[in-house]
Amino acid sequence: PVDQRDKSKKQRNLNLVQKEERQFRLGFHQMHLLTLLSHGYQRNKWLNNKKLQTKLNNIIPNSVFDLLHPEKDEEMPLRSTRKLLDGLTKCIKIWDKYYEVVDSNTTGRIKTYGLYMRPWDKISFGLDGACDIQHCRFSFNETDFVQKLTKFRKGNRDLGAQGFVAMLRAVGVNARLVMSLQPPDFTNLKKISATQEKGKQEENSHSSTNTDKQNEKIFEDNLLAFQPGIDNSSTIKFPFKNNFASKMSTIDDILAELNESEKFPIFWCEVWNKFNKTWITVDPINFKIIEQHRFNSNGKSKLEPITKKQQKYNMLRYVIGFDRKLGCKDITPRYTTQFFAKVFKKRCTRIPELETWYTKSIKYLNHLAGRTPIKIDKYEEQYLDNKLSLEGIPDSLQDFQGHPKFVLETNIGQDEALKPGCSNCGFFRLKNKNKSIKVYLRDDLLKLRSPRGWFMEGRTLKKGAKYSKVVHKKSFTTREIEDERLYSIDQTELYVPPLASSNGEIQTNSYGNIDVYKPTMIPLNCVLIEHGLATKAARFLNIPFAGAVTSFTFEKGRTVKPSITGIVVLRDYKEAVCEMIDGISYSQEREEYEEKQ
Amino acid sequence: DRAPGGTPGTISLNVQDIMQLRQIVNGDPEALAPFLENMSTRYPELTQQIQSNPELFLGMLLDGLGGNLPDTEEEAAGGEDLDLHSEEAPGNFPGVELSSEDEIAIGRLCELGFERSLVIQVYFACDKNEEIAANVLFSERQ
Repeated sequence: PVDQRDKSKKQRNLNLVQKEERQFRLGFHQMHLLTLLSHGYQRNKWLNNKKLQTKLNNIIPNSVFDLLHPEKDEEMPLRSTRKLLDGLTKCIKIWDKYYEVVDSNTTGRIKTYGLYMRPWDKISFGLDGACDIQHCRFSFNETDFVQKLTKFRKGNRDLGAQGFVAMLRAVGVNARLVMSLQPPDFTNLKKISATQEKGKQEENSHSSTNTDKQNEKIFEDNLLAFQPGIDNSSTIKFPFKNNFASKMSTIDDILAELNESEKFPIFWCEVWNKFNKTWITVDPINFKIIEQHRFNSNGKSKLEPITKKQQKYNMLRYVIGFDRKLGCKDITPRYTTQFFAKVFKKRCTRIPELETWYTKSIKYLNHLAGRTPIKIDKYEEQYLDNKLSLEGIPDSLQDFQGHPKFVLETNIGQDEALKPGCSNCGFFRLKNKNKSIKVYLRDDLLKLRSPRGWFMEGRTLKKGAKYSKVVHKKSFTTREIEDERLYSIDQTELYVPPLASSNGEIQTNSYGNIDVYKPTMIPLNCVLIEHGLATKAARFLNIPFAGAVTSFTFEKGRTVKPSITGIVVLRDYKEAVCEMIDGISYSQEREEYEEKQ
Repeated sequence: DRAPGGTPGTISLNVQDIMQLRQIVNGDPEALAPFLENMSTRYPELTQQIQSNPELFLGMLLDGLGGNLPDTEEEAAGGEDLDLHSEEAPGNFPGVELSSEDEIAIGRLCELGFERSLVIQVYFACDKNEEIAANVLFSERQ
């Protein structure tokens, strides 16, 4: 039975992409994310166009204007809110009459994915196998945008929602453009060929030799059509995958599924309600609904796609609110009920470095807009934090995997231990079994390391430190099973390296080097000079130094090599060494130059 | 950051691609996915650069986007009946007037060793952002 399990695991792995492709998908996800963010930012900016605002201002009658700006009802603030909601309902109706939604199916234009999420095998092609780049022949600028909304008054749903926000802003309502960004799912690791083969099998039942030829024709046409840019002499070459065949037969299926996903909007609107200090959600196009979000409840939004079908092309992961001052903010938790259990894991921000990357990007856009934090932001932050704190223990085993808040007792890792004295925050009951597992907060987990592991972090064990756990581990050198004691951080202290002697002698390890994994591991009276020529320079100067091991590289065959990237010398020698390095590299360059001549 | 491939702190897109990408971000976001796939094969180091420097990338896409390029708002606002699909190629800068500030900035960029006509194009394409223009020029040269 063990063999079989191994086999099926291997089989499964065969259908998953390799490391390189995974990295590509994550990188592509990030790149797409940023460009979508830019698109939202740009559209939001266009909404403030003066000409657009003046024209849209006229379509709101005075009676509705008054509803949108109610006086504060001191007795019952709720009545003010009521008026605002009435006003917004009327606005949805006004907009419905003013703007006509035209589906791309009915306009003769090829149906596309729009801004919905594309599967990995449809990145460079549309659902009918044709290349979509043809669309970008047209430039569409702010003037076109204003004209579409004021003169033609029809277009797709996205534009409709954008126009609605512009109309509200025109009459002084604090309205936000909300966009749900849909970069492809980087957590989907299935190989493309696997899905394509499946497509091919289905396709064989239909006949499609003709369509192949047609497709190739379309493909060539598109190539010709797309020669953008300033300089036509350098034509862009497209690395198209020569594989449209599989796409044809399943269009109807895709359309049916896409329809499910398209029920949910990409763009919608939020309006600030100053009476109860919350944002109201308005979806003027798709569901034509208004949603209020109450404090202290983990309420469900109708705008979140939930079922597998709905999520196939629309996975709500990054919801951004773009405000009238051009600021932007991630407001995803307002639209989710299982942020940690489901959504968090589909966001690239689950990787700590990318969390920083993402906040940096959002921050930059706010900086670009010159937007500084205001009071409303604080209320919103409180609301979002509160909503997240209300999310309870997941109801399926799978959701515990990578859950940032809760951990099952059975999932506590070898190198983790619970804080002494902490207690469980709940139970998880296994289905069909009369058994339950304790659930702990992830915050109550301590990271454990071996003494060696702590030294790599620049820490050393305190005197009389007590270990938290003993694990059995295969020794690196002898390949025998050994016991290893693991310690938590509170059993360690910062490692302070001994000072170098006054003539510059540095205390080294048994290999004659000094370990510098963290800056704090450099002796106080010394410096670390990281340069390929540092050793040579120090030898030349004939001063005492020690090679600095700053990290390890793991090579094939399980060998570990220390990497010596520089030297540690007395502070006083720093200038001399640096000068010498410059000198050596200069003379080396000269020699190379002369050799070439 | 030790970024493998490419100079750290730069985004190595040529002017043509930046212009194209800006246009897509502006008006045709549906084409983003195919265009990005195409770019990421032509610039293998691009993802890495975007990962280590998202601000620069966003700046290239947005800083003054559609602000100072001819073919936008100001000039086009006059004509009500503008053809929606006018295919005016970006990058033609007919009769651009230079302010003294522009002159100085362009002078400085030329001193970096670039041809004046190229500098002017890039300078305006980057919406008079000297720093980004310099970055683009340098990555062009590589």
